[in-house]
Amino acid sequence: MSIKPWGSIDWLLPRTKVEAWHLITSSSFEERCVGILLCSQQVELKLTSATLLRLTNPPSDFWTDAQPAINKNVEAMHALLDQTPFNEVEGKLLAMPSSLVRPSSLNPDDCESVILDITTIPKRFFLFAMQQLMRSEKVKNLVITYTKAKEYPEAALCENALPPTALQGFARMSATGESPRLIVGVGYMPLSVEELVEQAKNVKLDFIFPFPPASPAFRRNWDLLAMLMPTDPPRNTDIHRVHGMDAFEICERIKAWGESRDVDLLPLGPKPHALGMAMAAMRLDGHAEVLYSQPQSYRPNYSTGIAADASGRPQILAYCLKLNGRDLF
Amino acid sequence: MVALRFDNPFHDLWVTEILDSNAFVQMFSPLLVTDAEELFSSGHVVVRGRQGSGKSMLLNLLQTSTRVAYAKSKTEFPAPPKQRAFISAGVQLTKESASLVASRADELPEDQRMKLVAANFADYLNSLLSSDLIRNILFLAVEQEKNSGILSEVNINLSAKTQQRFIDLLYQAEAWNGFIPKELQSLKDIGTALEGRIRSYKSYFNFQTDEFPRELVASRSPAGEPMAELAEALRESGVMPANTLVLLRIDQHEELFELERHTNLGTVFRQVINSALAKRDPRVAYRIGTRHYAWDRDITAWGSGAPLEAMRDYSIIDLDQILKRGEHTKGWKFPLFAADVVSKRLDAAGLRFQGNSMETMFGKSLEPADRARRYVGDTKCALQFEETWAPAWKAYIEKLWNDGEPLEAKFGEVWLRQQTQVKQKVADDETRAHSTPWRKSKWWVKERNEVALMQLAGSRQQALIWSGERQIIDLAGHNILAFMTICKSVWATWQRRNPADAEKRSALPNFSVEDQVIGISEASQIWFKKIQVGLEANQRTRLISGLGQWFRRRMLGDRAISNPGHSGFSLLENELSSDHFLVPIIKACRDHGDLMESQHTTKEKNQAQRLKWYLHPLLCPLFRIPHIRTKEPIYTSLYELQDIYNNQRRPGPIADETLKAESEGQLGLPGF
Repeated sequence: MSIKPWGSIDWLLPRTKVEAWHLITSSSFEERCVGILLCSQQVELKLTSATLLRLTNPPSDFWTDAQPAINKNVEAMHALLDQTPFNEVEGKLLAMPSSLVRPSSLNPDDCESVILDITTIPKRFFLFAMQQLMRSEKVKNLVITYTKAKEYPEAALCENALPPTALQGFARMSATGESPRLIVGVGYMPLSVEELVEQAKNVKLDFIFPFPPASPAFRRNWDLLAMLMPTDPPRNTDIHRVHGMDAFEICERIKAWGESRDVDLLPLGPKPHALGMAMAAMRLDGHAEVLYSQPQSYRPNYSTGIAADASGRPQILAYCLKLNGRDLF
Repeated sequence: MVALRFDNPFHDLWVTEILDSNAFVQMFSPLLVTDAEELFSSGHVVVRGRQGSGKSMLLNLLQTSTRVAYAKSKTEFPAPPKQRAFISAGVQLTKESASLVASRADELPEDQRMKLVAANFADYLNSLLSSDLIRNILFLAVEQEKNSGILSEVNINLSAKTQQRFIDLLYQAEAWNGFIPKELQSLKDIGTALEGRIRSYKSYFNFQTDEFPRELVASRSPAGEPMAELAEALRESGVMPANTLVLLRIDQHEELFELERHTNLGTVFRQVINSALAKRDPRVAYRIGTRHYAWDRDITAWGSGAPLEAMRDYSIIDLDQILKRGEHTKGWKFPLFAADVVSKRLDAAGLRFQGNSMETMFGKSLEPADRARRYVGDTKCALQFEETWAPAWKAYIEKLWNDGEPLEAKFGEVWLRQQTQVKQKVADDETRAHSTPWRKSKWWVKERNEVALMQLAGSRQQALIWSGERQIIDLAGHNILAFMTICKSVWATWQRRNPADAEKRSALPNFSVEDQVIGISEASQIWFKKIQVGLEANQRTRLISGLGQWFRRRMLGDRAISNPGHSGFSLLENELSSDHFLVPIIKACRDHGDLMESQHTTKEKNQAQRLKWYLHPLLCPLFRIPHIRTKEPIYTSLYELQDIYNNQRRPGPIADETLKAESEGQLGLPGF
């Protein structure tokens, strides 16, 4: 049995034996964007430097409303970074990820040990950044962190999703000819993919359902599933329940499914699931494609608060993807 | 019989685009082909239409695998016999992730960026199409080896001699110098080399290599050139007959429009494709599948900047135009097309039926008077009378109601409220309360039937009735996807509500009006959800929600039914040239088929040019407004529409929220 190196940050980091890290994170209107920096004050997380990603959304009412929260969080992040040297990478939400999140900008000092905090980095950016950091020979240790939110509002979280397209760095390289198996990560928002699911000429359709979900999240997950499920789904449609934070389990399952045929991956679910899908895609030798519909605006209260553990500290999960130059998935 | 995966013959809406070739043969309706014979001609053709209009279906007819399936099943291929000497190759831009070509544009020097992106895209496209053409030749050769009678008009000869001649010719061709490695021995080798070239591109676009492959830099060609030379070499060498046309399909061209919007690369991708057409090279002919907005907005060619000329550089097959209803229903193609599609689906499901299967399944649409009876049932007269009206009139109208003529009663009430009658104080005149003067003009009644019914249903909290063959055709708005969505939903409703009948599967079902009402309501919600996909999805959803509710409010509030045409709006044409923020949203709604646009001949004295818009008919059940267009629409302005848009609360992800916004509870099924 292989060990899956993930768990709470204060459990995982000491086991890496890495003394100091370069942190890549992003500012946001979500309060939890400061979680990792709050944590750095409380657990053994020594930062040598940091990169702060700042994305500007296209003009919208949501974006205007989000400004006060963004300013407040940026101020808090600057204060928490205190003596830590940091650089800021600014860009637009709809820009090509490669124009912003290349190792040269994310890790300008070529640090060996990097934490990529994906908490508030949009999926298309953090998946590309993860891929680039994994491929970088200069990065020997890579840990992904994710801070859980206290709650999500009962409303549409984002708007105006672009049509689904292959994510940069995750397009299929060559097809076997057989129609791909479509694997959909279930989240809260359909993001314009209903037609893709409906049209998919897949003879196999899989939904990955985060489990156990917290109430009322389970209801919203089921709502989305009901929305996406074709009226008369293929007979071999399966719903797979996977722990909502277990990126490694997702990766393992998809790697196994992708051995025999091409797979299309739609990461609508929790970010750790998206991470797991991208990890698997990197191992499937160009036979997997990760598709995503980028929303053009996000609700200013996309999430509220930071989930706390029993001792009142932010609940942050960490995933070690590379240790001492060795890939762990 | 095709093994459909599901009991519902209409389950797979996209069957002619996604199922295998054998299924295509069984399900493809050839009715459109007579209006689209240019498809098999030697010129360039743009197949244009809204989503679901059948563009990909038509282009897929050209595929070699489809033609082989026709031949194997001994089904007549639906192209004129004289125009079957062709072979086709194609690319579906979404599937091939054409958007990736833009992915590393920011790494290119700014002063050369456009030029290099254009060169990469042109060459990537050349590689994809050339590779697919070779694949099709090899596939056909294998099929003809098994059965020499297959596609005898395109007899493939892969003898050592023809292959050698072909390779010699190809190596002499300018665009192929460096395009593939030297010393290849066969078509198969060339196919493999082209696949390698495509992989090199994908590897670079996917960041698996840091440097742009050098071998590609030196061997890029302008769009179209390698394919033209390949086609010529195939013919001249004798690999395929000298009279074989090479038709190159580029489907989902609108993908490029969407890509350009988000990459700051101007219109470079579409211009590259235009440049291939602009060459007027007779050696190949292109078939472009696109939506109206993606084609019409830029038809200049990369390099020269010269615009393409319709009819000269290319011809257009406009599917919406072909299927649209004209002034008169006579000669309207869509109902025939829809009936043929239904018949093929039923055949494929093993439900063979002689006669009009549409009429058997859906029946005839209910007459207005019947619908009115269903709405009111056996309830007491609920019409509202003015206190001043003569008792004889009230009694007469109530009698009409109680005698089972609630629609006549409603017309009586409405007629008395109209300006002419009010001026003449007809409602005060007891002596006239004995006949149905509103029937003197058949147009008066015809124009008001639907609004009167809507008001009757609204007063009783009833869902509107849509049923019967004619109404189902009307609701589809000459879009085959909308039509299939209705069929699918009604069939699924019938299965759900009549499990015992559905199990038998021996006869064609006869859907009850109730099943149709529920199924159509579900189809309408599905259609509304489609707005939430595509460009400006949220703004479009918001505008459509606002308009739908506005139309309903106006028609419910028009107690004299003086404006029965207020299910649409009209704007001065010059308002659309303004920079008002709603203009692009209205245009996006039109382009996506959420709104149906047409010229409006104004009744105003100034005769200023106007345009009018109506919701797609399939959206009408959701908003419970009539789908019939009659009389004058609402004359409005962008400022009034802006108020409607701004007052529309942010639309939710599902259509139900639109209904919940109204202060009405659960709707009843009329008369059931």
